[in-house]
Amino acid sequence: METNSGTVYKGSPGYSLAALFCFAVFGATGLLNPFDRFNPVHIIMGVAVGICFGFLCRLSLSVVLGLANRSLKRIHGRGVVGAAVARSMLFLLPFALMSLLAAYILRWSALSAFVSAGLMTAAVAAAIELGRIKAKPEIKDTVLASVVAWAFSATWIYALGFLGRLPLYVEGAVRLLGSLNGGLFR
Amino acid sequence: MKVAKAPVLRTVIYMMLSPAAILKTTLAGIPWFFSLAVSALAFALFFLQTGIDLYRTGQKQLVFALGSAGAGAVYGMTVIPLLAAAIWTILKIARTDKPIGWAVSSFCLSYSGALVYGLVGLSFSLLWGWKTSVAFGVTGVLWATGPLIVAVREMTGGNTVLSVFFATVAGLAVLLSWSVFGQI
Repeated sequence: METNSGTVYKGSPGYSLAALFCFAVFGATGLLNPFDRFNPVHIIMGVAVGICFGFLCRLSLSVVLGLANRSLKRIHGRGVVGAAVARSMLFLLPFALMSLLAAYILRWSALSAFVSAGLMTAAVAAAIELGRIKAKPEIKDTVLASVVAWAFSATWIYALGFLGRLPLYVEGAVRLLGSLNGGLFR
Repeated sequence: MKVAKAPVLRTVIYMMLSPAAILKTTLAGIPWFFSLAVSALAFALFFLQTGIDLYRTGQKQLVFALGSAGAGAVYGMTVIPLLAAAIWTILKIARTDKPIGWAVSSFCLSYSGALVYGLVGLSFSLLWGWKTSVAFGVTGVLWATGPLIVAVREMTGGNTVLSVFFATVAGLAVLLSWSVFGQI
């Protein structure tokens, strides 16, 4: 395989921080309580779910693109695909900020479109980043990245159906424990 | 640089799926009125779906729904090129080598995805009575973010951070102005 050079590519903590922020926002806006938008239980649970989802998403993209680019990893080091995926996560930032605007200023409740479009854009960007390292970009990277993004978008939309109820269960459990606790000391 | 003429449908589809290829090779061969038409039609369909949704929920008259298409076309022909010109002016200070026509054309063509989503959304709206302004309209506009990032990256000589910043500003501006239209 032809490549631009034998440069070793490494990720940056800035990109990882941006990705963490974006997935936390997607989680918080995904599990948003439309009747109480600043409900701390919903926000904390959403941030936790979003970060876990983001970790799995990044890992899957890195593994799939890594398997398809073994020779590139031999030339540029093992971190080349992970670094490209990390850089591409910066492309999520406009979608995360727009979903914040939609959730808290425009007061929308259906926000999964932001996650779907963001994931697809970031995944294609990862393929483009890999193409910039190679002398000749390959369509297989774009196709594989798009398939991973599509699978995660579909999973996110499907999972929101029951994940959205999670904060309500936690709130219920906390109230129950609180009432039991109060009863014991009465 | 190799400049080639691109067929209409292929340009729209490529701009939606692989904007870098179009921006690097064929953009100079695309007439300015074609780029403006893509943006105008994309927003005409988006605003028309908004009008139809508002009409269906009894919030607006049919005249408003039909007038929305015209308002969208004007929006696509004026606001998007103005947004491109404003960002180009800022980047000119940072010494971009791209001409203003390139910036306007690339910004307008970035809404190719919105045009495709608009056509599909309008079909669902008219044939099955779905409310499509958010599901198809907003999704289409969100699709423009990727091509916008690529366009600004070309203008900044590969600066990803600046391109993400300006694409975010453009996306927020479009989303906010559309929501204002929905509340008129």
